[in-house]
Amino acid sequence: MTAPVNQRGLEENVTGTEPLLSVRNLSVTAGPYDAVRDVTFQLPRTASLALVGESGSGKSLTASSIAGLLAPQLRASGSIQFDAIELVGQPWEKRRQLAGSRIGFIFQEPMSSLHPVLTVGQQIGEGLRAHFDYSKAERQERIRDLLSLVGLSKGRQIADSRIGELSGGMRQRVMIAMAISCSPDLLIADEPTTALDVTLQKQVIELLQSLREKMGLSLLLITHDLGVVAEVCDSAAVMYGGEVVETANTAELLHSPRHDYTKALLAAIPQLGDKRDRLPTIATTAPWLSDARLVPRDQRPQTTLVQESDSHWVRRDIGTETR
Amino acid sequence: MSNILEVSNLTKTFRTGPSFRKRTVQAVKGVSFNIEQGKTYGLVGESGSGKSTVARLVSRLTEPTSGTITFNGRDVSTMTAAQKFAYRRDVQIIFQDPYSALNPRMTVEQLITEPWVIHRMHTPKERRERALKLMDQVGLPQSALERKPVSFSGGQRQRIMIARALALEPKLIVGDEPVSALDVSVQAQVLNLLRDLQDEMGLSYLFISHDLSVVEFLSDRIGVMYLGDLVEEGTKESIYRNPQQEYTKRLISAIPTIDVPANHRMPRIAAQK
Amino acid sequence: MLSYAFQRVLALLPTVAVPLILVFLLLRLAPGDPAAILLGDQATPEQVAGLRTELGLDQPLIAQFLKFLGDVLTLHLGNSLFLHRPVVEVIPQYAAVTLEIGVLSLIIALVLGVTLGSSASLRRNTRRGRAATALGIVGISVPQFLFALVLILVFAVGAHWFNVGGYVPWSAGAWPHIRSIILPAFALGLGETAFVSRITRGAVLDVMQEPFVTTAKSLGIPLHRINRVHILRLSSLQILTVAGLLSASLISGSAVVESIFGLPGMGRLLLDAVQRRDYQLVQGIVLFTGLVIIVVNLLVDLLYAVVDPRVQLARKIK
Repeated sequence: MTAPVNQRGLEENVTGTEPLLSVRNLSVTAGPYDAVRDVTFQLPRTASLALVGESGSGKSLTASSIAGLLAPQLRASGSIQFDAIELVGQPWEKRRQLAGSRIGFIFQEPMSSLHPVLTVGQQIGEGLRAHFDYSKAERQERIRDLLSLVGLSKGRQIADSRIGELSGGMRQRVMIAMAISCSPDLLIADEPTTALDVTLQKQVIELLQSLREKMGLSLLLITHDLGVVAEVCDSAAVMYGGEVVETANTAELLHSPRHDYTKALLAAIPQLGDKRDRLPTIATTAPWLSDARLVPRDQRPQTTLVQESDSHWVRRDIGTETR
Repeated sequence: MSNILEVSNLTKTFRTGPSFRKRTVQAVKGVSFNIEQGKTYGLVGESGSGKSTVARLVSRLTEPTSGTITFNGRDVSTMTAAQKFAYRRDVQIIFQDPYSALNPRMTVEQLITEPWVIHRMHTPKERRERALKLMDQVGLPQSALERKPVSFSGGQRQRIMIARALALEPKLIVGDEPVSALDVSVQAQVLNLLRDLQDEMGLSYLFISHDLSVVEFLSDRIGVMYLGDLVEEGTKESIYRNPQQEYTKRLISAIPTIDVPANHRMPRIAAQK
Repeated sequence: MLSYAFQRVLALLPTVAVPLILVFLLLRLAPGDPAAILLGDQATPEQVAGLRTELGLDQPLIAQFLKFLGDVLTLHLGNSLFLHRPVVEVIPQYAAVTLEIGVLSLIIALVLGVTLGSSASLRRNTRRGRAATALGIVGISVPQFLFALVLILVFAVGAHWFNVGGYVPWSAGAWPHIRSIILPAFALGLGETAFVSRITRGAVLDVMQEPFVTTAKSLGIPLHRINRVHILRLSSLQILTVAGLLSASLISGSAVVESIFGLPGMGRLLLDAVQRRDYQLVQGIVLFTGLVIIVVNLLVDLLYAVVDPRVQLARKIK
């Protein structure tokens, strides 16, 4: 059976049982150093997965390499399969066809990630123009629809404004509207709630969830906030030192973590009604997170992901450590 | 137990806008609370609530428009420059952003000893010794003294800030979102440090944050601020277990908690500007 | 936008006062008696005394200044001593030549410079880009007169496409007129091209690093469009600044280029007037040039607001 070819000439997988996104042994390197290594996880269709980690864990780099937005000095190797299409090694021209139309990206800081001078309408319009052939009127209607889809009711007024005139919450919604403008299958959100107040965070999370339902999106959520993970994601992959150290369904991860780092991370978070006097801290092999990645790869301890139960993988040392 | 700080009807009004079209903004409207000696008072609120302004008022980085601030029984609402200078030895502030709050050109030793230089305290030898002691207290290696802030991580820089704040042996430390920019694991370390220092030295804290969980961990009493008003106040148990005000309830319910199963829907909060 | 424009015009007034005051003081602060200076060495004491009264030089300074202002506003700027014609007649004639060539060279500099500069930055890792960068550096280092002489050598003497020099006014025919100004315009323009290209390169490099460029890529927008619509739009602020600066120097005219090509422009006029102590003319030229530069700066300010509306007073959406 030949796979149908869509309007962009790319094959589509119609069977729907394969995960939408399958990352295997992904590494992102800069010379002898591995910023990200041996990252493996799967994201089924319409599901949501969190990449959880603190700063320096490599989660943002992983997201960037999936979207094809890595800085030119970095090299990605391994496998990223999106809808059965291998992404690693593809030139930008091919990746560009997927960008926006099949993979959408929400950036962390809307103030700097949106153009300061072009109006909101113009910016969303640029995204539409890249993939569709709308007339001006159609485009404007689509822009208004998108804005109301993300909860911005004064569509006309907002489309004519610049991002400096909007509040933080509105900017984030505009960012989301842009990311979904071409109806992608996969939405990658890089810390979408970090820069926001708690009540705004809730709204953004709810928005993402409702969009997922309405549009059948798969969501890859990058975050350091385990509370958000609990709220939103079906499964999670915990990252530390550029590696995935544990991946499992959210409930299982939070209630029965297996890797020392995951356990320590969960324990270190103050909870409301916490009776503890002191918070347990993470004893790490390297003093600060980023240092692990500054060790040349042949000197890092050899580890691998071991499947310890149905969908629960944990990173364990391989036999003896090689030096 | 006496109060180290009493704030009564504190108000701060700002005037903004171009020269011909000034508007007034009431950042803080008649806020009153007390901090007991050796205890922590947590002030929680979202951006625009006025909590940072309260921090600056208490540490006298800005002047109150009206209201009184009483420190250790003394009225410090209006002070001469000399009095403010002396006040700094009693009340110190630490800020949120460890990356911009430290002068990148100064070594750690210079940063920590600067308060003594300014207040003309101690001989150079004494300063060195005291600096070493402070490093110990905040858990930094002695070798750090010669280095510049750029070679330290966020959590370490925050410790440097704390060491510097402790230099003048203040009685009250105001923390304006001191852990908000830090990773979870580092946050835990700094919170532990703050707690230990309080136990060791009998410090009082005014701890300000938008993160209710963090505030609750460190505080004895909590005040909730919303748009300039202190809408609710109480011990941490009463705030958490029995919130009275609508806004407090909303704030608590908005926090995603880890024990909640993944598909539980939280009540929706209407957009407020 | 209107209130911004109004504010800029208001800000103009104190700026205009400066050249006026300076020019006024120029004559009176020079050593010697102004009237004697004006009449030159040959004047008799009676003539000097007569001129003094006529010019009101025995009046208090404020009265003199007000008279001066009045004269300026009514365009009574005196006569050129050596050309024996009113200053207000002489200046426009020469200014027209300079301005025409100046505008043409500015256009050349902007078009070539922006193209070269964009290439140098957007394609900086390719051969084309590196060549563009190199050209920019060379261009800045080469002095104007060398451009002029080389152009003459190649295109006038060698190829006979143009005359070696001389100015043909419009009235003598459109094509001959154009032929007479093309080489000088390029001589001026090429030198400035290098400057514009360096600035453009820097401005584009700055904007290229910004996060919103990554956002545009994430939407699948093709690179050429990102460059044109997203990047260059913002870089044009810096380019605009440069254009403003260049206009200022072009208006004063290049005495060098005008001399080489034998053009009756402001540069040569000023040079001659200064050498010949033709004070009234010098005064008129200084006032004229100052005023035009101030107006050009006003235009640049207004254009800023058009290119980057953030420059105006911000408004917030509730």
